[in-house]
Amino acid sequence: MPLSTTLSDAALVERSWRDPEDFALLFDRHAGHIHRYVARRLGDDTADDVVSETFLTAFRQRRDYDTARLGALPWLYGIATNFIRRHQRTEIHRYKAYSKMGVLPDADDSAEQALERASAHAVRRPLAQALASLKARDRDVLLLVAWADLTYEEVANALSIPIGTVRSRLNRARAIVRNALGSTDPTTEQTS
Amino acid sequence: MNERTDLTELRDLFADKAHPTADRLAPARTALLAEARTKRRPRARVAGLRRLMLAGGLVAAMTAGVIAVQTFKPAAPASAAEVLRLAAEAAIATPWPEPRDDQYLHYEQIAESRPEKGVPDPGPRRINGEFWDSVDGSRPRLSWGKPSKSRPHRGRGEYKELATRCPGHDRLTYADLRGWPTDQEQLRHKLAEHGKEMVLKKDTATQIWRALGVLAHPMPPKLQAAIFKIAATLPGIETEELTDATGKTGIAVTRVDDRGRESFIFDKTSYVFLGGQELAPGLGREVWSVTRPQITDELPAWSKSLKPGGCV
Repeated sequence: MPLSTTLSDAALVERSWRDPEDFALLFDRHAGHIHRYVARRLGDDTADDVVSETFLTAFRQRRDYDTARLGALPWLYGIATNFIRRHQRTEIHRYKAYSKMGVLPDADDSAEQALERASAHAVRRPLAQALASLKARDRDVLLLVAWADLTYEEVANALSIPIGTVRSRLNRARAIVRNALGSTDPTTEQTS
Repeated sequence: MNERTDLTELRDLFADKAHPTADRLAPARTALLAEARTKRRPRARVAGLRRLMLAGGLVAAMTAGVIAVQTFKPAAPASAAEVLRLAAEAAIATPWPEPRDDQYLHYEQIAESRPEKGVPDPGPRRINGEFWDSVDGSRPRLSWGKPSKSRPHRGRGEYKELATRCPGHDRLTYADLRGWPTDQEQLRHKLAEHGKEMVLKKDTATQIWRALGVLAHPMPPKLQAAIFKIAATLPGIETEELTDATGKTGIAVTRVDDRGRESFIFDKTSYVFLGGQELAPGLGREVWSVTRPQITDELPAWSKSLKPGGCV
């Protein structure tokens, strides 16, 4: 049975303390998830750089990894989040462009496909606008929950903040998102 | 807009973003490997992962460097074989109701690293964990890690998590161990097979000795006693006085092989098994202890709020 399938993340990290190249097994296991998450926020090209920086940083900090935590994804998402913040303007620009055009500026669709998608996803434009308007720290929490599928506790660990702070940031962000969605939903207006 | 809908809509936003191809990730992987190769050191021995897996992640930080020779107190009076014989008697002295497959074994485990002179210090680490292991492994395992406040370790703090058993993972369950033989010859063979994966050295005694890390798992007392009896027959065992992870001084049975010096520690008067210690040249010293498990039908109520995580 290959190591990459039998060992926990913590075991792989610990193994890399002695055999550094084993850290590549952690890359093979999680780089795809991290890349997709970052690409949803920043686009593929920037995601390439962020993923590389994330794993190099994780590798350099591997001796600080708490091996009592069997899964390393929250740790990696936390590091990636720090790099994402360096591209905040890019991220906001993408969301704003989507909210106006219904198409991401880095989308590689043909014009026809883009128009089709823009039409199909019109309801999501206010959502992108809401994401653009959030404070960076609130957006980080919201997207780690919604896109990275982390639990509150994992988000707290990833961002090194108390779980209560996770809840308050998430509540704040969701209120803005709900408000943005509610304003486009006539059904809500009738029933409220 | 109800509370579920906003997250659902958000989850769908840009959800058509595909996973990157291997080609796309290749430059980042290459950069990582290039850096890793600059840090590569000669492989001295098989990596000491066993304790990590046995302790469910409660592993002490190890680090590289040269280790100073450890000074031990004078050996205890009893012979190593006699200590193990008494430990075997102690193991089966307490009544043990056999758990059902649908029950849990609740126990406490402590792991601590004790950096040695000449070894770069990763910071003292001490983790006290409580575990609820599903007897047959069919239900999620609950872990509650509680780092010492007086001696915090690097990394993150307290955690509570539920993890399922990965398909094909070799982590032993109580039900697996219940199926092990207690007949001396058959068990000797089983231990040697188990230990083969852990040591470079091929002699059977070393393979059996290294397989004794299985003692960190909750197991039927009859099996534990049978293991102690086999250990008593191994060449090269000796006694010494060591302190376990709780700070209690006990009598230890130690054997030295190509991976280092591994000891199993027993209470000095009752000979109840307390835990162990591994001293590996260049990597520091790791001490661990385990309490006798209690059988329980359910996980604690507070665990209901936990979302099952990945597999281990």
